This record gives sequence, C-alpha cells and structure tokens, in this order.
Amino acid sequence: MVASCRPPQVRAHTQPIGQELYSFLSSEILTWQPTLIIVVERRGTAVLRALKECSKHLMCPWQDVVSSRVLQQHSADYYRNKRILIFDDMMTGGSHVREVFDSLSAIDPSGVVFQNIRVAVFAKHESAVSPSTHIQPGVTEAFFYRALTTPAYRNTRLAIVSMLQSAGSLMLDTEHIEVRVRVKGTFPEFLAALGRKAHVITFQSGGGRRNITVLYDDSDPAHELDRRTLPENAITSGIVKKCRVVERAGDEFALIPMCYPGTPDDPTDWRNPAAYEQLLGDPRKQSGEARFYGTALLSALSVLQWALKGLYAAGQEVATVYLPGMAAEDNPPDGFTLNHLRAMYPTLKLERLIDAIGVIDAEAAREGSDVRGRSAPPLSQTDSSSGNLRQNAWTLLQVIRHVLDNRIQEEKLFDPLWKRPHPFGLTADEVFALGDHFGWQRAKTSALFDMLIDDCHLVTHVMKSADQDGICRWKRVFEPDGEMVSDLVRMYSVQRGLPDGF
Amino acid sequence: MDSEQIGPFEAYRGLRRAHTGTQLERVFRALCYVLHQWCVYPSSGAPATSVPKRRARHEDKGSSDDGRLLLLEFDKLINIVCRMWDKMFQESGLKILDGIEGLTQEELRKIVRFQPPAQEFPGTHGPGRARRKAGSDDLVYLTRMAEQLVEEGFPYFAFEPRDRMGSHSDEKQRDGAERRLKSDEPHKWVVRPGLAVGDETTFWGGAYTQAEIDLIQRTAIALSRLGPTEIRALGTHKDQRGTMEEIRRELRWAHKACERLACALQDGRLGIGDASRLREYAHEARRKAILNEDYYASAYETMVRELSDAQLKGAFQAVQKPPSLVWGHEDIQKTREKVGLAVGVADYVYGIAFFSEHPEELSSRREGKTAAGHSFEEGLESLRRLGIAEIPGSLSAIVEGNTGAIKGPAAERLRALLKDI
Repeated sequence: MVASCRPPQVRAHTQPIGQELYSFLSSEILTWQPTLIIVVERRGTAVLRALKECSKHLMCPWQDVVSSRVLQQHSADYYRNKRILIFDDMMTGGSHVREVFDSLSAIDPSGVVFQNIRVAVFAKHESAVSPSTHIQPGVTEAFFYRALTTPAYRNTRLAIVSMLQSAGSLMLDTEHIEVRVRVKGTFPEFLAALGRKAHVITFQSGGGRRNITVLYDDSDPAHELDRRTLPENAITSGIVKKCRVVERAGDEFALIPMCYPGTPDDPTDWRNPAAYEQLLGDPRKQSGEARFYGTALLSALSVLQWALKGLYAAGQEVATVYLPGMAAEDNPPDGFTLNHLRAMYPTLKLERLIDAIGVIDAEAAREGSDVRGRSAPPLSQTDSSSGNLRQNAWTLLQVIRHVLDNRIQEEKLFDPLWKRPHPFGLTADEVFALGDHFGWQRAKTSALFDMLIDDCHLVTHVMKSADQDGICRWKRVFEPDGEMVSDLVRMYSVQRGLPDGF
Repeated sequence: MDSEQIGPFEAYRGLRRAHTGTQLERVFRALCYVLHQWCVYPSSGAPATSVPKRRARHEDKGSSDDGRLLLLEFDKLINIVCRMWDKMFQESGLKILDGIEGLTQEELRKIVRFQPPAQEFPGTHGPGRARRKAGSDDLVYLTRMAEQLVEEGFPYFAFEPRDRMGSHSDEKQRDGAERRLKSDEPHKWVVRPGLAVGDETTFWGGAYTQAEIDLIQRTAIALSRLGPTEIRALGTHKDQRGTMEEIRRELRWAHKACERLACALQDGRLGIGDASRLREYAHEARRKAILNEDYYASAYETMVRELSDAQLKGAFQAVQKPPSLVWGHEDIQKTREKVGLAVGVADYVYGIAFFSEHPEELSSRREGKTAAGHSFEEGLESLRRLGIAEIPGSLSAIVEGNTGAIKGPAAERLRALLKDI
C-alpha cells in the first residue's frame, strides 16, 4: 500500500536558521547553476534534505546529488564537465572539505575536475581556512557567516542541530531505507508488536519526537542474517542490528531498519554476490567502503522483515504499513519515495529495491499471520522516563572520548611522530562493551547511541582495520562529532569527573 | 545536577566556569605539602638523626628508601592523591556544584569544591595525571608542568639528579642530564618540595576549605608511611580493569616492537633500539602483572590502617581496590603466562641484538661477562623453562662473528619466536 503524502511536520525554513540556510543554498544554486552537488556528510546532507522536504523550489533533484562518502564510486568522467557545488553547513579547520578535494584529486589526478567547483559553507569559524587559498587554488567559495568566534560558532551549530532535530534527524540521512506506518491501536500495543521478539527502548528526541529503538540481539536464531547473501568472512554478531522508529506525525511513524555487518576488504571474499549484484551491481568492482554500505543496505532488508513481521503478527488493527513508491519527483504529491538513496548509493537500482521491499512486506505479512495469536516471550521494554537515558547517554559519550584519548596517547607514546588517522573511533562491539561495564542492557546502549547521534554529539564513520584472525575488514565506528564536541566532553570530564571505574 | 539538564544543549551551558589556573595552583601547593610530609618522615634507610622521635617507615622491599622520592614515584604519588581528591569532590562538592556560590561560609567549610583539573592517561612508566594542550592531541603531564613552573620561577618543587650524592656521579654526564627534560627521565631525578611549609595556617593561606585541608593533611600522613616502591605500585594500579589494560598495553607495544624486529630480521639484522624497547615493555609488563602485587598489598594495608578518618578511608577504598580484586581475576592469571614468555624472548633477543651490533665483543670472548650476555643467558633459561624447544643456545650459533649478521636458520627461528608475543 502506498501512503498518502503528508506535509513535513516541521518546516525547517520556518525557523530563522532554516530561513537563512534556505536563502543561502537556494541563491547558490540559482547563481552557480550546479549540475552536481556534493554534500558533506553528515550534517551537510541532512540540512539539504531538511530544506528539500520543505520546498519544491530548491532545484536539486537527488539524482544530481552525491554524498562525500561515496565519491569514489564514480569515475573521473562523471565529474568532468560538471559544475560542482560542494555544500557543507559549517567549517572549522576545513578538514572535511579538504577530504572531498583529496578524493576528487585521487579520482582525477589530471585536475580537470577542479575547473568548475564552488565551495558553499554556511558558517565559517574564525580559524577556518579559505578553500581557494589553502586547499585548491582556483575554486570559488561562498559563505553566509564567516569569522565566527567560538561562542558564536557554537550557537550557530546548536541552532542547526535544533532545526535538524525538529525535522526528525535520522529521517534526514540518505543511507537508510524507510517504510511508514500509521498506528491505529494504542501506542503500547504498537510497542508490544515491535517488541514481539526484540528489545524495545523508547525515548524522546531533542526535537520532541517519540523515538523507538528496536534491537534484535544475537541470542535469537530467528534474527541471524542470511549468510548466503554476504561475503564469506563477514562479521554478523556484535554489530548494529536494529530498527529505528521515529515519529512523523501523531500517529504516523517512519520505520528505519539498520544493519552493519563487518565486511572483508578483499573483494574475492564474495563467493555468491547475486543478491548484492541485483540491487547494487558487482561488488567486486566497487571500493571496500562502497561494499560496506551496500552490504548494510542489503542486510537492512532482513531487519525490515523482522520488524514488519512483528506488526503483521499483531494484526491490522494495530498499524497499517505504507511502502515507498517510484516517482521521478523527490516529493510526489501522494506517497513517498526513496530517491534520496541515490546520493549515497550511486549504483543502486532503485526500482529493484522498491520491488524487494514489496516482496519482503508480503513475506512478513504471511509469516506474521502464521504466528498471529501465538505468544512470544516478553523481552525488555524501557521508557526514558524510568531510565534516565539522557544522563546515561552523556556518560557514554564521556567514556567513549576517554577511551579514544587513551588510545591516542598509547599510539603517541610508542611513536611520537604518530598522527591520528581519520576516522578514529570505536566499533559498535567496543561501545557495547563499555555499556556492559555499567551493567546496561545492549538495547539500552543501542538507544544511547541513537540519542547521541540525533543530538549530533556522536558521529558514525566507516573504518578499515585488521582483526585478530588477520582479516582486514570495514566496520562502522563511532566517535564524538568533531573537536568542538570533544573539547566540551573533555572539559566536562575534567571539571566533573569520569564515571566510576574509568 | 538534574539529569535533564545534561541534554545536548544544556551541556554547553551547564558546564562550570573553569577556574583551571587557580585549581592547578592549589593542587600543586597541596602536592608540595604531601611531598614535604613524606620527606620529613624518617625513612628506613635514612640516618637515625633525621626525626628520632617518630617511628621510621617500615622497610620497603622494592628499593633502598633513603628518604628521596624519584620523579617517577612522585608521578604515582600524584595519582593516589588525585584519585582520593576526585572521590571526595564527588561525595561533596559535585552534588551542589551549581549552587556553590550561594553557600554560607559554614556550609562551604565542609565540602571539597573542585577536583584536580587533570586526568589519568597512559604514560611510559604507567598512568600519570595530565592535561591536554588546547587544539592538539598532545598531553602535558603534571610532572612536566611542575618542571615548567620551576623554569618560569614558580618553584613548587625542586629537582636534583638521582646520583648527585652517589659515588659514581659524573659531572659531565650530569650537566648533560640537566639540559634534558627531567620528566622524560623520571627515574633519574629526585623531587623535593620547593615551598617551605613552616606555619600551616600561612601555608594554606585561606585558599582551601577545611574539608580540603583535612583531605590533604590526612592523606599526606598516611602516604608518608609508604616506601617509594609501594607508592609506585599503589599509584600505578587501582583496579582489575585498569591493571589489565596496563598489562595489555605493554604487551601491545612489545608486539609492535617484535613486528619491527621481525622486519629487520629479513635483512639479517636486529635493531638494538627496538630490542631494547621490547625488553623495557616486557619487563614493565612483568612488573605490572606480577611484581607490583606484593608492594601494592603492603601499601594498601598501610593506607587502610593509617587513614583514621572514616570518610577518607571509604574514599580510598572506593578508588583503590584490594589486591585480591586487582590481581585475583582469571584474566590476569592467564596474562601472566604471556608476560613470562615475553620477558624470556625479550631478554634473549636483546642479548643477540647487542652482539649483532657489537660483534667484536663476541670475538673477545667477553660475552658472558656483559649485561647483554647475562640477558641472553637469562632469556635462554626462561625460554627453556617454558618448554620452548629448538632455540640456539649459543651466541656464536646465531651471530656471524665478523659482520654481526644473524645467521639464516637462527633468523628463521627468531622470527617465529617474535611472532609468539
């Protein structure tokens, strides 16, 4: 069933910062007339999506947008002869924009690609470098605010984060599948359906929306990933396997499944890539990072099936499921699309994905009706009001920063010339272990991740590292979002102390 | 602080205005006091005239306690004081931090208002308190900060070379040492209090609450009963998790040194620098996994006995776990086996690396009399005890006498051995 279109709940450009962002970006698009927009992850993308959701007049279809994380998936020819606009919301040192230029330079060493590039950064810190003089001579640049002092910069960041939270944070990412449901029964019934064989944590996001984290742990064989669709040496336990459920309107929620198996860097590890190929092309011809994200998208379909099965098992009277449709328009007047995925998965065959979601929905409906009426052992359900989650989220952030700082120091003690690589974060398994130290259930720790990411305190990256079995794998890692957040957390820890045991 | 206040936005506003400079000044002054108390307390090895009326510190089995504290040991004394200070702050000041300005003088007397503004980070010789340089990944340890302060004319402490009074001191060498950073060679420098304590009321100068003074005085009294090695052990360890992490870190470093050595072996060489570092890491791991336990136990017992104030004793016991909880865990017991192997390999390899670098020492048949020769013999013996078979038992079977190159079959065996760490 395709949902009727609902206007976005919070119009980003009704907030002052949203108006400024909209005015800045729309005028840049109007004057520069880009044929390609490169959005710098994560907030650059989120801001663009928030603005696009609000206005059809922002002329940048998703097919002309590419995420900074997947630049390597296009050849040099793709970028040549394009008028490129690189967009980011904020700049301190300029490292993110520099990374974009480094990637483009690696793709096209001849430098032809740099002939028509403009960098548009909404707000620049007083210490920010000028891209044209310090990064790539010849490029043009634009800004809305520049030379912001640290307090002013921090306030601008807070205003943007607040706007993104109001617009639904996670719903603004471009890497996730989304299915919508309208709750017809009571909210507790909805939770019970989602938590039929999963751990459920509810909390309220900074934007005041109800959020649900539905965690599928490794103990239930029903929630094992189908290894036939994965590379031989993929890691499928101790990873993120969950469905985020975010409130859109009073009774409408977005179901966002996520799953991030650790994927081997060696492309020949993939013996049976048929399922992947069908959706995303030949994995053996893609970069390790691209394969990681592709595998995640594929695996998220399994998670979606588990979530839908729970809803269908509860019956039509609890919730109605609405699936995405195909449309050339990003925001069609009725229904919704997954066109935003084009920015993150350039090789994605969107029609096939939509079909696959339809098949999964049908299977989940059949499986759900088979088990309807059968009781499942109740798993944990926690509400933020009883769990003091926000305090715990902050504690987790403190400890993540502390552990990473210790690692940095350890490396520097061994080799004083060592420079911190980017990214430099903790894997989900390592963060779960930190939660274990506090005696938190993994579902709770998982919800704390979500809160910190929604608050833009924690950021996710993909990092390659060698495991104990000697295999090099790509994994999702988490680290505090930039030096500003890191310094805040460090100052907090110095003045108020670290949790016991650290 | 209410939990809801620590939200994404409140965190920015909810931070206490940091008076870091003032806090650091007070911490250094307090540490100077603690060190003063330790130095004036009669040590087991000091002349009997020093403070005849008081009982001397019980004998510290680790080293000769001549009443001098090395910078390395002082670094660990800082850890102990700061851990207790942190805890006392969390028990009192932290709970009312945001309303601290509205307190009466009487209420203020009873609380510790802040904690030392430095955190424990890994260091070359175990953890140490440090602060991060703004906008960088570099840390400044408090010992280094104390040294800088002396250079800038704020002598909270005084530093002197360890061997100044020794019979083998070499003026030239000492002058060279003077120019190097003391905090880079903390085992070569003795630290003494730089401020005169004299009248205590004047010393505190109204800058501390009564609770803070009590904390410092009582901690100082208890710590003055510990010998230098006990201080080092107590300041290095506090719980099982941290100890395990310390040991694993040394083993990780040892592993990295092994990788470099294995790489060098492809050219038939063993770098003496990396071999020396491997040995340092392995022995440090042994100290943390095995040797420190006894010193920690006696230090722990002494502190519990000497801390008469129940609240302070509780704080101590909260931040320093009993030795059985630190070393009793199965994981540490398992790690001890690994450490034993690492020490054996490190000693053995160091001996070989030395003679590979100095093959002339081999031909002069002095190898058995040198420190490196002893290291080789000890390593060999340890490895044989551990049941490691097929390892060459003589240096001449490993090192080419004229070039110092490692012979092919021996290099193969060494590479396999290095892989085991």
